[in-house]
Amino acid sequence: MARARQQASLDASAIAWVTGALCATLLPHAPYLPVWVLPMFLLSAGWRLWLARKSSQLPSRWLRLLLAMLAFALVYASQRGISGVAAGTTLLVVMMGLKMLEARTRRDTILLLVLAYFLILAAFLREQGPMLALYQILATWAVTTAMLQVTRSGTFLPAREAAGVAGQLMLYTLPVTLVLFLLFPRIPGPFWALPSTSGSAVTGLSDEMTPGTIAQLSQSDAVAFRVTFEGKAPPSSQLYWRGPVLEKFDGRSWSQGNWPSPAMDISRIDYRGAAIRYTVSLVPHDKAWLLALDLPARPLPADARLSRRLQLETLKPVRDRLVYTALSYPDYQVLGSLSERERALFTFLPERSNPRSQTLARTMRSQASTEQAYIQAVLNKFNREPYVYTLAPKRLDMRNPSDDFLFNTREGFCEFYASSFALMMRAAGIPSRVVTGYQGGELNPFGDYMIVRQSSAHAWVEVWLDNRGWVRVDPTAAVAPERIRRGLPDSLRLGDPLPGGLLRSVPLLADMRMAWDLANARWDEYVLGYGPELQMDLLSRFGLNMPTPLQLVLLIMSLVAFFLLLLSLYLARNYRPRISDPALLLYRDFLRKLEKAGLHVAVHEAPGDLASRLGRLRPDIRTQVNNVTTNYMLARYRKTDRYQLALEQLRNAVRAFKP
Amino acid sequence: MGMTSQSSLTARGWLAAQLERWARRRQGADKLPRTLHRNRLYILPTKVGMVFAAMLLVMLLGSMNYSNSMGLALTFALSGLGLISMHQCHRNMLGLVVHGVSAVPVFAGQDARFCVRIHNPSPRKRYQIQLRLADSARPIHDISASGSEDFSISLPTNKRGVLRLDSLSVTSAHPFTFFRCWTWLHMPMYCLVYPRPAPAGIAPPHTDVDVGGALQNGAGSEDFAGLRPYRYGDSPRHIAWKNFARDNTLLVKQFTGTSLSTRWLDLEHAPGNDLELKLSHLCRWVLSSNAQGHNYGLRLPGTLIEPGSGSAQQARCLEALARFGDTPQEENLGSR
Repeated sequence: MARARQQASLDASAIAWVTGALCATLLPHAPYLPVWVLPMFLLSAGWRLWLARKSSQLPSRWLRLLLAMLAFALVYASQRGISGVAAGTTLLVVMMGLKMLEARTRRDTILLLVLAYFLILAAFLREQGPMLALYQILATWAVTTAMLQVTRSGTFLPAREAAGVAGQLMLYTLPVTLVLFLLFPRIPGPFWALPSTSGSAVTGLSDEMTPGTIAQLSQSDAVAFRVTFEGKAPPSSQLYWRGPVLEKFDGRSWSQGNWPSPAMDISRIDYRGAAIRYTVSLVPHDKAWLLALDLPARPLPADARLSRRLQLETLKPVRDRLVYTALSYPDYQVLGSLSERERALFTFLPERSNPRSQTLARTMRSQASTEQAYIQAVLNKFNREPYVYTLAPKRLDMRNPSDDFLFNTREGFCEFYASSFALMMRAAGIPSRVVTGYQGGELNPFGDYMIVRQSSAHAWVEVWLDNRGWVRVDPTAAVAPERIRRGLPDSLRLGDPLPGGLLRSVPLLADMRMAWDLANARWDEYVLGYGPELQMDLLSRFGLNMPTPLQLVLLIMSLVAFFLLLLSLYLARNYRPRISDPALLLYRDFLRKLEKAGLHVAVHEAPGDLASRLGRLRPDIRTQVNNVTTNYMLARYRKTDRYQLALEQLRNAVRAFKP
Repeated sequence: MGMTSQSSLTARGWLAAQLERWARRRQGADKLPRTLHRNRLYILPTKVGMVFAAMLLVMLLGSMNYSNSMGLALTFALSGLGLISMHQCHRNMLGLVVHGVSAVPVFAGQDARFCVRIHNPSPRKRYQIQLRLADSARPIHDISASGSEDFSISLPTNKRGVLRLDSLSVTSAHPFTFFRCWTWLHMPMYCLVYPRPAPAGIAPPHTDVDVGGALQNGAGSEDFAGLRPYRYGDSPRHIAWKNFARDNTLLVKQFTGTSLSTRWLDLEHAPGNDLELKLSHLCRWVLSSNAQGHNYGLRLPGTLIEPGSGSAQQARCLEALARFGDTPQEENLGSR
């Protein structure tokens, strides 16, 4: 006999459920997918839905194969390969759309929902903020509800009921999730090479600077890092966060020299004055450097070294949130002298680039008595002549950008000034280089820490003066001194676009913005930053010092078992039949006593029938049985004035009953 | 749970059979109604559950590789969901009460219908409860809070006799079908299968015995002899409907003497060489005699049913035909 397979065929409502759940998981990916991907997905889902409505045949195997190959080729071409998070996600979404076209039974859609869970995970590889986490809880709920529906045989539950059941199950999982999150042994990855995160460009400084690079970055309100100072925060004029140091100039752009540059001989640095101690929580920027106040000293952050460029460099790009403690001295001097090779590097200029700037520099140098007088003269030029500090400068002629800037447009952002200034130093034979990083920061009054945003990105110049070493000169300070004293918003020309403009200007919104940043900071610190160190810290608080993974697993298992036991008890109460009639409850006690005495009661036996049968069977208990039965029937079926009396008598009779 | 001959050849089928045998030994024979307690609920992960577990493993490795906290949180939450679904799958079955199994007799060739009532005494709804009885379609119902649901199953029959099943199983894979929880109940369930009625046309041979008024207790169908109260099984033809309309009491007209003679339906006189064919003819004769309101008796080797009429008489005769010889049933599905 052939077994009747109970495979519900795929109906329109199942497809609608799956499509809905998938769309919920796709939403966070939408901005990062190639434009054709989502329409393609929706098109296949719509097509499948239409086929189900009309109960038509699915597209033939050959057509599906053709579509699959076409889609694969499209993904490969648009993502230049299939490795990496972005390409992987794209491929996944495209294949999900195609899978829909071949799903025949509800069972087939389970795979789609499993892939939907993967999409939720994939979104976290890009970003892990609290808002996204919150949204993904909803997305998980949607997928879980759809999972509940498509794994049913027969009709679907009403949407509300299904969502309720799924939501309840998710609530029950909370304690288990928490136990696993806190205690599961955290093995630091990676176990295999990380696919590059290209395609999801990270905002931040780069190792190259052309006019416009930093102005563009300044439009971003994203957090670069957060700092907690030990003690009072230093004044804004000392807050030069040192990032990549750019030594090579090709006439247009500045870039880093040899990579990696050799380590600095720290004994050549004379640190003076008071140290500033602080902890940085760095947002991953996918670059192999750290940011620190000018200039970091020993002890350096773990895994970092100070290169000869005086830049904090790491071995691997920073791909995860990184917390490090650093020590810096705003006052320092690099001792010794430059080698011939270094002097040549730091004074190199392509001969034919920016000829007018070079000529101007030589003229001005010849008029100045000392190098310092010359530096001051150039700064005065920026200060006294009508140079404008703006985020939206006119476009420069890129053949000789410095000439165009110095003599024609005369408006620009910090990198314009830094670049031209460094060029004029080199033209006059003074070794110079451009340092990029951040300047300033906003103190968060709620959390007592400083937020440094991408909008604080800055570029300044270092010149080498004999006997004084590398000296920081910030030409921007000559044009717009407020930029250094009070930050970007106060220094811009009227009408310049300002990141987070409205948020900054309305006091209540500004407060909310700071509170939100605090929430983000704590989230980063305790949730995203929860790793082996915090885990050990937590366990040692409960007296578990350096537990082995086996101990952790045992602890997890016992805690999970404990929570399941609690759940069982809770549900046992929930599932207990509710009998409200006390008479019926008492009568059940009576029946239980009969069963215990070996007197079997058939389900269909009415109380009266039972009493007369028992009377015949066991004359010795006849009166007792009759007493119980009469009072039970009075109490249960005739709720008159005698009810209370009958109930009382029933209670006594049942209690006294001994078969 | 009955096995198809095909699936019992596979390792899985063999294992399932062994498991059920073990459960049978452990649980003993059941008596209905039976509450599903912990000690008789079994639970195992399904294929879908395995796929889900594999997904969790991949997610765990991926999240660890990227040291992605939210990825880990998601993985742990879904692991929790898997665990809770196991717990819930069990909880969803616990405490259900399987009430009586009923089956209405059928003629060979018709589908035998077993009906099992399952009651949910708790104030929470139970989802996706499935009844498995032999190799039939497996009805699935949700059972509402403090409600009951009738699960009916049809089995094709082709031979007369007693269709006997020995066990049924109640299962559920709610939620998500990650796990399947089930129980076996072992008790004999019967459905009478009457012989397939032969085509109408061949009348019973004239073996009528006109006993006139001499038949025991004088019952006949010719002369009106008064009224007596209705008893179960009396032919509706003999009910005094006019009385019923007047007094609302069911009375039956009694007759003495017959114009239609009392028929003896005898296996000896049935046409054909084959026993089953003969029984088929007898079956048809019983049906037609009853339909025409005859008094009829049945004579089989070793069995004698005194003449009578009405549906009770018909049921008696048909059962005798069904059970005649008590041949071993080839389609006795439950015995395996």
